[in-house]
Amino acid sequence: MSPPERGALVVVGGGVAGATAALTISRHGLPVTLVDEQPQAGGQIFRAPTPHARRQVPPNHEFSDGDRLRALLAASRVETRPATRVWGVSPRMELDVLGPDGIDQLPARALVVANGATERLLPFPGWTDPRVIGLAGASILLRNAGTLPGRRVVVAGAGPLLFSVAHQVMEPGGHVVAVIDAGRRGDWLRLGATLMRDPARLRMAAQWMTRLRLAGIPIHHQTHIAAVHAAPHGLSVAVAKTGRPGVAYQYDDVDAVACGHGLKPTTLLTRTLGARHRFDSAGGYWEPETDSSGRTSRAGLYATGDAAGIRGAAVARLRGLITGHAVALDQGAITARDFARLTRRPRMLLRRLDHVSRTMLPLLNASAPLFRAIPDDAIVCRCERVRAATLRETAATGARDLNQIKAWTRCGMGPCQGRMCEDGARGVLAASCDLPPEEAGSFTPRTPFFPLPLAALTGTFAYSDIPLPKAAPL
Amino acid sequence: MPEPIPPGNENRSVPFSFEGRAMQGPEGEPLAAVLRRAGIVALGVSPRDGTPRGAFCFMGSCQECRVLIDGTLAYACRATVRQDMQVTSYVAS
Repeated sequence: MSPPERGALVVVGGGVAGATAALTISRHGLPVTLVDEQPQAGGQIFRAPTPHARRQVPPNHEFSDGDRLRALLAASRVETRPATRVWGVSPRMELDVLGPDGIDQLPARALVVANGATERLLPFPGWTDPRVIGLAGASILLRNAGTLPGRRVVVAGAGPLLFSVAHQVMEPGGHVVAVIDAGRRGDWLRLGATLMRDPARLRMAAQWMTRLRLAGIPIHHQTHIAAVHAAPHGLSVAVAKTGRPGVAYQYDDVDAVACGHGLKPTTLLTRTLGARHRFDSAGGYWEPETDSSGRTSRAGLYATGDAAGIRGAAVARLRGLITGHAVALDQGAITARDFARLTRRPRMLLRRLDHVSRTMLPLLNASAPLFRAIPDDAIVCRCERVRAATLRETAATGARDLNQIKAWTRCGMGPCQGRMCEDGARGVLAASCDLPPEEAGSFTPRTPFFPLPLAALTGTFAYSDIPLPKAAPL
Repeated sequence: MPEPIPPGNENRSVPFSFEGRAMQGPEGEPLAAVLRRAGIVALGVSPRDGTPRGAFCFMGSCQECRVLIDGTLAYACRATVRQDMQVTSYVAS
């Protein structure tokens, strides 16, 4: 399909990739609109802290880098649309948005999708207790709202965010009861060698680990939460060794559990627009196919930053920069020679960092034994209360695809539209039929992407304004 | 929608209510965080099984922190504290 001729240059997502792309496009003299669901740009990593958080959390590079990004945007000619969420998109790349002034439509002749990552969640019995929260959510709460999830916190899941959040809990004086890591200790040690090529990340990781070790916090590798029970003095957390039956450790009097199993690209827009996607087996997720500049299989549609594959903030900035230049090139604002000159150095840096990020991907993935370990009574779909047993029974009767599972069980049909349960459901389904996870597919995205207030859709109208089709003859 | 806090007026403590209970909190801060600091984590119940639920993802995806603010549907993770706002649990129909 050829790109639409009318419409604006639109970037969706005000994180480091999207903001950098928009700034780059704007520097080439092109008008560009940045749509961001947050009231201030920064995305998740560089999210603007509240005044309370600025008082509570010691100054850190996420705050200062985010402030720099926001200052650059404020001084630029980028038209920002803050607090605006995309809830739909037409095949001609007309975005439906809901902002402070209600709904609006934004036709795009070039669309840069920079809407970042979504957390992968593994269900366990008890995870619907309100004291259990997502790992990324815990980080937002700690860093951007200066609020401890609880005083005694268990941190569980996989990936670097695990240790980052543990560190963030300790910073303002919270107590980390234990770190429950699905990864193997050896994986982290091997990663250390690769991280030598990325000294900034190595320094940060060393700082987290030293702090945890000095405080004597138990770190259990190759483990996962078996169940969380509400007890009179707080939550009781049972921990199992992956692949072995029974409870290996138990922690009581816990008042918050933060859990998350790595990140995956947010593909709602690229999938709705029919771009080609591939399954990245290392990361265990779908990502849009892109060229080295972020162009998808669809003309005029780009994906950049973590939305094009999880690589972290440093890579996201470089990707955003290169994609911004690519949009300028495709719009005829710069020549191919300019483009090659402008992207030479970013590409060099990107190659080195990208290698490190890719090495980390398996640490963020979840393997079949983890999904087999999910007990039958665990609720997988939080909205519709669908348990693992129901998914397994459905698989036993022949369901092989997530959309079949959805139609038969209502799993993924609730208000979150499967965002919380998709990975859990895919993993349980694939593990119970010995399928590769990609064969279980994905929930088909539906418009609106999130529940819309009906009033926002209808606006004000009179009954007589409604066109009534003539009734068909009987 | 979260509104920018007027300069010089940052985090003035204002009264509001949650489920009829009188609360006090810093204006402009995210409601879910302010309630959590006051020890309130359950914001509503699951329409399917009646079990307590609260903010889970803190980024507007999970839909579990839906509340009514002065009768209008809002997300506690995104909404901010305003003077005299009345927050009640959302009951799905």
